[in-house]
Amino acid sequence: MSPRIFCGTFEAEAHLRPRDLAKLPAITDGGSTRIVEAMDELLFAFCGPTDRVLTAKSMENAHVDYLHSIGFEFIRNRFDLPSSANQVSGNAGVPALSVFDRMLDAAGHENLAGFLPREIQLEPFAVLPGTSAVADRFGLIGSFPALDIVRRVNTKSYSLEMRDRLQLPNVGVAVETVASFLDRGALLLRQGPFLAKDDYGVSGKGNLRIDSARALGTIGQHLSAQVARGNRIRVIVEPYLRKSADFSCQFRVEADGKVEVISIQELENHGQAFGTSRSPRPELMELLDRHAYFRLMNEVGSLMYADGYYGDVCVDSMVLEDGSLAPLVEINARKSMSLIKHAVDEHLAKHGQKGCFTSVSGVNEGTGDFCRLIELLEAEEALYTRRNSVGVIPLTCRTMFERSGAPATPPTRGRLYVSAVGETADQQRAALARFESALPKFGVRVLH
Amino acid sequence: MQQQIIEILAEVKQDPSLPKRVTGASHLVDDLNLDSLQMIDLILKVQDKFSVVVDFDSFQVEHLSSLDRFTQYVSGLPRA
Repeated sequence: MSPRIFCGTFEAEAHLRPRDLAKLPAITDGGSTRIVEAMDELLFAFCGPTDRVLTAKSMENAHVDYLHSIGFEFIRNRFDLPSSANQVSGNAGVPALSVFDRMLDAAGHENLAGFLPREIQLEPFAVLPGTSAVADRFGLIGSFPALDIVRRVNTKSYSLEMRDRLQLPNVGVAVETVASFLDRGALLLRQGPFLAKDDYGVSGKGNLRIDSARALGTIGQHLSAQVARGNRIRVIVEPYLRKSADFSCQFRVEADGKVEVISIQELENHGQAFGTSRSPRPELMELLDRHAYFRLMNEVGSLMYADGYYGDVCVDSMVLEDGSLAPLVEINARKSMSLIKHAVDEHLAKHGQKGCFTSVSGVNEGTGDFCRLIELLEAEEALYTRRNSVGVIPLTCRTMFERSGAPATPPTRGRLYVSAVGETADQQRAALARFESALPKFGVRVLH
Repeated sequence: MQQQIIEILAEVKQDPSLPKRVTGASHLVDDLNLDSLQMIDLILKVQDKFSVVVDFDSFQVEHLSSLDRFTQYVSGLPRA
């Protein structure tokens, strides 16, 4: 197998979104953009010893040294790609330029050309505008589905269409006018709260829960104003289903159409956003077997292939409070956080360990560098090391901390993605609690 | 009004203990960890409760820099 280079932009759906599509209300938060931009550090988890990870901001030396010390092997860039800080994306909290835009902008830079040997396989987190152009420009190996197909299969309306094709119960409807949004919304409100989903919403983030006629009216007005400016509407509305479990299935559709299921991960979400990803409980796997869930996922993959897509897929699914299965909530045609969790698990399994994948939000009010944090966590026995098998692996660094030696900045909000390692869920929780207790000693105020 | 906003915040965060630890100086994002969806949820509920109108296009996240500042912002909003 050729060596591979992993790179990508998270919250990829925002880069696939047509500019003339009206948006649901959103609030721009500059802090989120900085975090999203640095999440590409997580891609090291996919690498083997001859593989490379290209991050928009080069990874912190102390972080890389630590990851190498626990057996992760990868080659990384030691330079930053040109910044997109001054660009406005028009999508709340999403970097304006994707990593592919930035690579094309930096095509003349010696550093970048030197880091990209020819005949290396390009492995994007998600196929976006510019992915194929980057492969062509730098002579990388890579075959990707056409962008219009990638766009289509990533929409929420495609997921609805797929439910119909598979004859699954389908409670969602795509609406394309403000009047139909208001009519359908009012009908749903008679039964209880409902969800309005952006057709290209980032998993979990683009969903608004609407629980009053007034909120419905407000959103209707917000959409109307955009229609008056020439935008079009496509919003998915569906009843808010009470669930007892959230999980996702990761699979890959090969270029020859073969579908390979990779893993199932169970999710403890915070509201509708990503929380903690855990290996599935045996009772969930039994339920999936009883409902021929894996056969269904194969059918989803085969239909996507018939529609022209191949590559990574993550399907979000739920168990409802009444015990029934909602097998196809949303199709994400890309790699996913749960696939990263699976990659970390595979690494841990080589050492006989297990982990869960989560994030810790906090405000960094300190000035210490990451090297000091690693020392502190080790002293507090909160760090996973070759000697301490119950501890936390910080999977990202620049999502919370500035580069070592950078001028002091005002307190900044950030988010560290971590794997909490331990044989049991209780050990993993204990490891996470020790980690969260240690962070304030480093000047990080943990947020819950 | 501030007490009612605190109750809405507790509902949005699904955290009944929130009123005990929030003060007028609390930053709604950096102290209460309000995410972007929760911000929208808060605004929709505040609109409902106080019959006011928020323009999402011009809303600044700085309005959330303290509970006092957000309360002042809401009290200055036009009535529906």
